[in-house]
Amino acid sequence: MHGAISMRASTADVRSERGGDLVARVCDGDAEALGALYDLHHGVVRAFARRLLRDEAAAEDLVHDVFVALPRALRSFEGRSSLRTFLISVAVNHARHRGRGTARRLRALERYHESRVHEPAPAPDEASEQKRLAAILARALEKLPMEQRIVVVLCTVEERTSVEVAEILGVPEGTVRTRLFHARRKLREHLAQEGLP
Amino acid sequence: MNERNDDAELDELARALRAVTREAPPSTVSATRARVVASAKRRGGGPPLALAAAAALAIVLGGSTVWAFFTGRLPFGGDDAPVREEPAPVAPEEEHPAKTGRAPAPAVEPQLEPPAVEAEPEPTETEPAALEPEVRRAEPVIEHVERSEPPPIDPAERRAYDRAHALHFDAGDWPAAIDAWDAYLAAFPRGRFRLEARYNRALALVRTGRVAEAREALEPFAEGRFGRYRRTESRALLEALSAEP
Repeated sequence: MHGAISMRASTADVRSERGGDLVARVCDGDAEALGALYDLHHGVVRAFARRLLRDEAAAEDLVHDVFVALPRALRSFEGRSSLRTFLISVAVNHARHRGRGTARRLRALERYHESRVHEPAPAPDEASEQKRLAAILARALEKLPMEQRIVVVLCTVEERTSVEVAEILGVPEGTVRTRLFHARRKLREHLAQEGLP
Repeated sequence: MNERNDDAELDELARALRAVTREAPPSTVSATRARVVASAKRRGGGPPLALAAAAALAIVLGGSTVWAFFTGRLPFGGDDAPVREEPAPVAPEEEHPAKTGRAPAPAVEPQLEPPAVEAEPEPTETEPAALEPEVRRAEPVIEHVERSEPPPIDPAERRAYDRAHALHFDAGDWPAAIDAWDAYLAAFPRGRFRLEARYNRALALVRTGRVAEAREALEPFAEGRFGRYRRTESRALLEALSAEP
């Protein structure tokens, strides 16, 4: 269900993630344990969500959905991979089902709210240049099909190995490399149309 | 363009995206955490058997209460609300339930509350900015414009409203919130908070991507059918939705 990751988690595996018996408690529906698990791992899920979706509200919704789904999803977690890798595979599955429409509509809301807030122009420093470059890639990523976008984020942006990405996606490593090849080619085309940075 | 150069540039863009998305504001992190825990508590609230038993009890008690009310055995309205026997005034809403897609109101609905005041209530923020996940809570707007002493709120109505409010604003569980707003509107079609319920339902529809229904729900507000209440916001939202490809 969540990629190729399936094997009952051993206590040692979980403890190695500083999760202790959290997984078991989360599986039992312990909301406070879920909160604790969130404290440990929200960063990696949120970073992935923000890279994939661009829209911050949609990314937060994805983070929310991933952790809320965990009590059930963890039943299929068997500990072959790290818990963090498993969390990303859950996030990938949720992202696939969200589709682009929701993100677009959320951006409509975002634009509406942004239009009501005056924001001073940022100073032309390194941080703002990074933001500019990041925005260029984010826009180009949005033009890719979700499967290709996921691969680019996991491989190129997050610099995960193709083995790990194959594990997350539940596909052969060759498929990852093929998707990445086509995705990067499309990205280059989109970036060329935009005139690149 | 040279492919190798393109790859270098692509990698530079990737580094930039990696850097700017590394962290989120602490307020965002904690707000989402609160939503997660609230959703988990709501979903993990007891074994299914207990839920089924509670639902069955509610149906039995609810049915008994309606029967008692209509047979005069129950002076409904709490300690100080008189029993109203005259038909309630018609609220200035023309929309048919079928048109809205909401569950229709029960065929027999005791009118316990006068219609809400519709005279251009001042808008108040009840919807947390869609992209500001801080948990906010605001009192229903209609209460602020009551000039004479308002009749007491039916506790069942308050509970239904609070439930929907919690799902929407605390849990951020939009599909469940839509169901809860629908339940509120079906049970209390002339309820004190019906305007807020309708507006919040529209927002939840937007969040879940049910754009056609959201538009339909927002249009009466945008057209000013409820005075100035949420008129500006609804118009802006409709415009933003229309601008989407």
